[in-house]
Amino acid sequence: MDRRHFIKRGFGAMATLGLGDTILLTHGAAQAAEQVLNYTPVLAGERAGQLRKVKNNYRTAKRITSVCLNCSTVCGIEAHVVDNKVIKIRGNPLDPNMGSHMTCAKGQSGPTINDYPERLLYPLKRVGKRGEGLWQRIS
Amino acid sequence: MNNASATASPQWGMGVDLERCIGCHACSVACKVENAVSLGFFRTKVYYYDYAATNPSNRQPTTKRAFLPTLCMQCTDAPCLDACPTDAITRAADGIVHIDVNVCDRSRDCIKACPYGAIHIDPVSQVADKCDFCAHRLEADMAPACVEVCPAGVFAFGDLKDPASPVSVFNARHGTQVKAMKAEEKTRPRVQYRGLGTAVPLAMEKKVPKGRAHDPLSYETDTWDQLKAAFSPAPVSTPHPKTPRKA
Repeated sequence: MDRRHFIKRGFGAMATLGLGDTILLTHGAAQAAEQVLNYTPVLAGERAGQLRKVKNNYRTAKRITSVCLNCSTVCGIEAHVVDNKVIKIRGNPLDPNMGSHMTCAKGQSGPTINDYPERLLYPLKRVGKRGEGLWQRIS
Repeated sequence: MNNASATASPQWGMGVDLERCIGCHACSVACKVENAVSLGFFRTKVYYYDYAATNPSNRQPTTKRAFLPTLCMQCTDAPCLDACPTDAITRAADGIVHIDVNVCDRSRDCIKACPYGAIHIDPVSQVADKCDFCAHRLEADMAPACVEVCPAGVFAFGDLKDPASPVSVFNARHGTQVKAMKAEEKTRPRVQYRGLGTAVPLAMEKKVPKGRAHDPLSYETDTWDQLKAAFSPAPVSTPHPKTPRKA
């Protein structure tokens, strides 16, 4: 089978990449894939269609305790989940190594990692020449 | 925050202890995640300042680095509020200065008026955006994101009317050490600093932009070319008396 038979393009196609599929990730593609943060469109009125920031509702958010795996310290954290999506992380004061809501700067960035445009969702193998940008999903 | 009478409303205030800040930027990141602040823009930002000092242990000249966390000062005499042509900026009963995103017409007058660089135009919603002490978190009885995350306990936040709140305890403990940043602007900010002029040289206030938003590239620290004027030239090395000299 020709491995270049069907080539998907860009980080946006990563989510639909099947096993054995090839994806083209050119230099600068990640910068083009802008991360859309927590926004919602205005539905009515003269400003309809404009995007507005969503203010997290912590009264209804689900709280799930977990550990932060952004580094080897593995701090205890409490994640706020809305619509099955982590919206905010803070330290878990009940964790024996924490004692407060504090986390470091890297831990705070946790919620942005899931939807980060440059995130690789599958192990990829280079199938083209060096710098050509062709990668195949191998698992 | 929708209290009917102003007297029942808390008066939010913050004390920032510059003696404690370690410059880790956790407050900036926590704020960015909480408030969806886009790449290259800041509601709160930590500044670095390198300067010439004396090492107290050996009295030798050395360099020191100071850290200055900044945010919207929630001024009592807010220049942005007066500058806004559409009255989109208002002060709530609890003292927090809010921008109404449905009234803002992106005139940028508030950005030019702010002495602290606290306001920017959000590139996605295309309206002015700034810190509001995480008002939505206060409604859920939570501290602002920057306050909660700080590993050094820099921020003392609470109700200024409540003598037991962290900010009141902070003000009572440090008294006259607690000052406003850029006091010459006469904005009477709700955010007050301890350590301006001691832990942080007053010259550092100039690093905080006036009349424009925070610059994402200003993390760059000072270069030796900028610093060396503050140091006396290195002494010319003289040969050790016992060093044998060639004839």
